[in-house]
Amino acid sequence: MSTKRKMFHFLRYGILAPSCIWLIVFLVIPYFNLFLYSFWKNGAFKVEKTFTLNNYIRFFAGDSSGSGHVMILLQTLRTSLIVTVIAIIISFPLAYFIIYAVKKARSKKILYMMTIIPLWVSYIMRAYAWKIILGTNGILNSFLIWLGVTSKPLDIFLYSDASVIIAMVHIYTPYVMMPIYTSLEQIPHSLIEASRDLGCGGARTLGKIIIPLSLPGIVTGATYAFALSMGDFLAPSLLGGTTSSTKIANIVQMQFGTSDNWPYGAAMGMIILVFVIVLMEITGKIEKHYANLNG
Amino acid sequence: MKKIRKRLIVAVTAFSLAISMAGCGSSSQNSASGSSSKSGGDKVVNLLTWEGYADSSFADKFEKKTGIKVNATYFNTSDDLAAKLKAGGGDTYDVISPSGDMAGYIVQNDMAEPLDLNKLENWSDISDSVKLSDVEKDGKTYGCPYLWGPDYLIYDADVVKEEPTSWDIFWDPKYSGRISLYDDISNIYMIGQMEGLDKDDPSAIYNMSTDQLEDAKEKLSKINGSVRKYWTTAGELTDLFANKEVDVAVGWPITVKNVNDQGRNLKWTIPKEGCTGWMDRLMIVKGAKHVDAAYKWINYVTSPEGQALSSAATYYTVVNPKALDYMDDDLIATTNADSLDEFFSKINFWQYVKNRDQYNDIWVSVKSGT
Repeated sequence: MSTKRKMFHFLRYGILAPSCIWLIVFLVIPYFNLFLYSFWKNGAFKVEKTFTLNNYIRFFAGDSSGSGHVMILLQTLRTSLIVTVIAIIISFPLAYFIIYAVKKARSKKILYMMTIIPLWVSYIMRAYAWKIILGTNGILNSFLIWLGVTSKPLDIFLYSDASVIIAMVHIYTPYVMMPIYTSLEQIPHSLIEASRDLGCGGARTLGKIIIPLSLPGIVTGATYAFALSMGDFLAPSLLGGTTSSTKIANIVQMQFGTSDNWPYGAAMGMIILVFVIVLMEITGKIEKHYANLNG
Repeated sequence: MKKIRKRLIVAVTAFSLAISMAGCGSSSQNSASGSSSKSGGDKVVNLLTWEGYADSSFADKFEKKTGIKVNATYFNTSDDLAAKLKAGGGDTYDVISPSGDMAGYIVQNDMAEPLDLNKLENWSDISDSVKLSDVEKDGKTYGCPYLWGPDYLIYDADVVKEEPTSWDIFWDPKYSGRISLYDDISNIYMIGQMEGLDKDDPSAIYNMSTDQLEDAKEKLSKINGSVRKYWTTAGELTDLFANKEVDVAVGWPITVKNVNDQGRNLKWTIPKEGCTGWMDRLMIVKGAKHVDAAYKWINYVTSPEGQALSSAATYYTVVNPKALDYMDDDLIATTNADSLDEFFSKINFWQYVKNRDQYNDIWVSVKSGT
């Protein structure tokens, strides 16, 4: 064997090694651990390593003390879908505007940066900012009173499902905007011109050319927003009220904290993982389907 | 060649695992080496306490006096303490401050070291009425009383004009959306008190039957919609009152103090059904690495001056009556420190709940609306 080939092999695996190690240490081992825990029993202050399926049964069917947590999973799903849809509704026109309506390259850059900058601010800061804006004595209420829309401050804004959704939309919109922007940017201008030449108006060009071609970006963004908001427990616990503060991630977090039931928490983690993977598979299939149609 | 490749992968993986494990291990080794110095040479003491129990107003003085650095970790609820203790134990923590609902359990399950009363300089000064027997086992004492206080009813006197006399104010539609409860199973004790379960036997509200718990769930579910926010830390409740988000709440003296410091008019009361309260004991964790420093800390915070400073920082009540010499009138009045024994008798102190899981599940179903 030549030294050249040896060198090549070394480089090849040497380059792969860091990412393999990363995946093993931070993904495979933790998830395997979680998987094991989910089949163990919770004892007093410790985990008993005896096999049981009760954690999974409890989640779906409930047990003597509770009715399971499927409903909360579904409620969380609903919230996440709302967040995702709103984030797309905001992101798409925004990305479209920056790409097609703004002419100067510099203005484009500035506008794009402005949508990304919120990502640089700490999550907690952004959540607390919403407390200040939406609170009883907050900016929004003061403004409404000043306008004369209402005489007394409204308390529906903060500590409700609305405040949780608003904060999550704010936090996750940049994640949706970025892939949509990228996919719009890649659409050849010639296609749009051709569509115009063949007599399509703006709306038809948008519906027939731009949206289908940017679909991969939309799906990617939607996946980010959906997966991240499914796992978000900070926004609900900081900005949610009573029921709205209890999303599935909060229940999981509780199992590792106040309720102190790691095996049940692990089982919930596995269920959510499978649930999200299945959903992503489905959206992936849909995306491929459309991509084929376009091709 | 194939073999070499495989070996390379194995070697790299093993190496990286070794590094990551060494990384995990080294921190505990450091603290272990610190503890090996026997004659009171500890340089740190690690506390796992309620918020405010390592306030810099008195922890700094301790650090200056002894040269021992105070590291504090806070817990939100008693279960949180158990979870953190389980995850860390004596390797991570030296002193804990469990409330009555966890103290007995920790003692019974051998998670604390028995205290050498001869090393507790202030033991004889501490009021006998606060030396509860739940932290005694086989003639040994495991916990030293530190601070205590009530889960009483706090109201904004500018909004609620008349002093509430009963906990049923939470069910009053007038305050719907304007109340806050502690995010903890202690709300179930409150229902027990409203039902009068603890009239004859104080421990009855900590051992409620399944039927009684179902009843509590139903009652608490009725006000779930009226609750603006369940608070998890005293600071959170303070914010809720300070921002005028709520008018009535279950809370601790520290909230009354902090909000009134901002020029507001909060008042507190113990409703006719009585209220629950907590008695916090300081304990040394089983296998603690810095036992000498732990004793020094306990001695410092139970000394008259340490007690007065702790009380001033938290507005909780002292256990050492000698501390009154170091307290101003306002502090004494707010914490009822001069009528310690009488105030003490109005409160049903938290005890260990055997069916903690069941209480927890009921509480989760109440707040998640399922």
